Amino acid sequence: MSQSNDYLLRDGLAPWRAEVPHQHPMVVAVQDGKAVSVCASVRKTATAHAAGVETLSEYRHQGHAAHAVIGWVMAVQHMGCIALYSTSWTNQASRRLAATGGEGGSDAHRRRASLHLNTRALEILTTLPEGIDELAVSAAREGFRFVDRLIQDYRSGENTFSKPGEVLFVVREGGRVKATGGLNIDPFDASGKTGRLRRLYVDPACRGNGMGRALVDALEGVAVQHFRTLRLFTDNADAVRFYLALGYVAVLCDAHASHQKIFEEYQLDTRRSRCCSH
Amino acid sequence: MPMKEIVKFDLSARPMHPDMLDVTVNPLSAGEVMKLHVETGYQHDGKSRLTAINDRVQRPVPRYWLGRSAEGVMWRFRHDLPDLLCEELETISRNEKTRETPSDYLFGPTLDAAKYQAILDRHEQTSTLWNGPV
Repeated sequence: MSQSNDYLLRDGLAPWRAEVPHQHPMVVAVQDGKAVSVCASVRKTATAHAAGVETLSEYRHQGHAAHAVIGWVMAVQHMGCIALYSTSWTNQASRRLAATGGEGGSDAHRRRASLHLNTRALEILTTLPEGIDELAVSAAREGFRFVDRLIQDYRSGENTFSKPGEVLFVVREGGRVKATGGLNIDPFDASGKTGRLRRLYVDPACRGNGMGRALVDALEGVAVQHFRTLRLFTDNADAVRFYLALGYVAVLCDAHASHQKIFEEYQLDTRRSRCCSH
Repeated sequence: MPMKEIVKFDLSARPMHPDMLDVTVNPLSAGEVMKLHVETGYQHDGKSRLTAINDRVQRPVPRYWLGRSAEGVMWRFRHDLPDLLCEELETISRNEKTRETPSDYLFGPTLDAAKYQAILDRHEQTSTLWNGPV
């Protein structure tokens, strides 16, 4: 945001308009011709910026805040600074935004995931399916080696996605394997309550027709029954957009995960925590 | 759209190991990130005591701030808190547990704030208690 476009803040988020020159960078999500969610540097030093976020009530739970926050993080990092986000335990929407699935990680999404599982035929195989090597070649052409790694680890027994809650899916089209994606227990969380999306790859010719979304829906349908959180790591810009669209949000300052989604809310002990943000 | 099928692989039990290909190096440690949080959120005096909120809108400065990370615990006092009170708070802060797993970060204020509040209430009634993940 700058003073040249701060008119976008005129409805509902007007108090932020006066802060545009001071709380730079300020990033908004725009819909219906106006800013519906804003994220700005409300506290900052030469080294780091801390986020302030607000979303119009009628536009919540649609992923707008997640997009504003991601844009803000990128802007802060572009300035050579570190982006910080903190939130009260009492603010569950904000915690989702800060920590995992953002405002789009809703129950409705989980129900949709279950639906996909119920309406698609599932087969249990004893070996990797024929044709997955073709998918690995396709991935390698794009510079991705992780399908190769999936095959190697599966064949060596290193990772067969076979612990409780783990699963590996492929999607076939015309008899050929066109996509794959796995769910592991997150090795970086000793509690065992965090799942990790891995080896998700969709053939380039099949992108944009819902195949990747169906695959993630199916994986989430399994994950929601075993884990409280689903995490992943990607540094690919297209993949980042894909996961954001599915309600994942960025994980800040974590070496092992770039995005995540929460399935279960922590039950706050209100006897301990009496109030909100300072 | 052509029909697709989702095929599930076998479920035989095998060991699993961390996949280092999925890992990048974060230049900041957990303790460094926590320090950034407090230094970004508040202004400090020469003794690392809190003097103001680092915000254009000035609000009351907390009398006590404690941050836990996987690397340990750090704390700050407001600049005008009596020394004896600071010493008491410091004693229990030193014994505070660190946070170790992502779930610790996401799923619980396991810190027992009541014992801190009991000490602070002797100085002045606590009006606001804030806690949350960073």
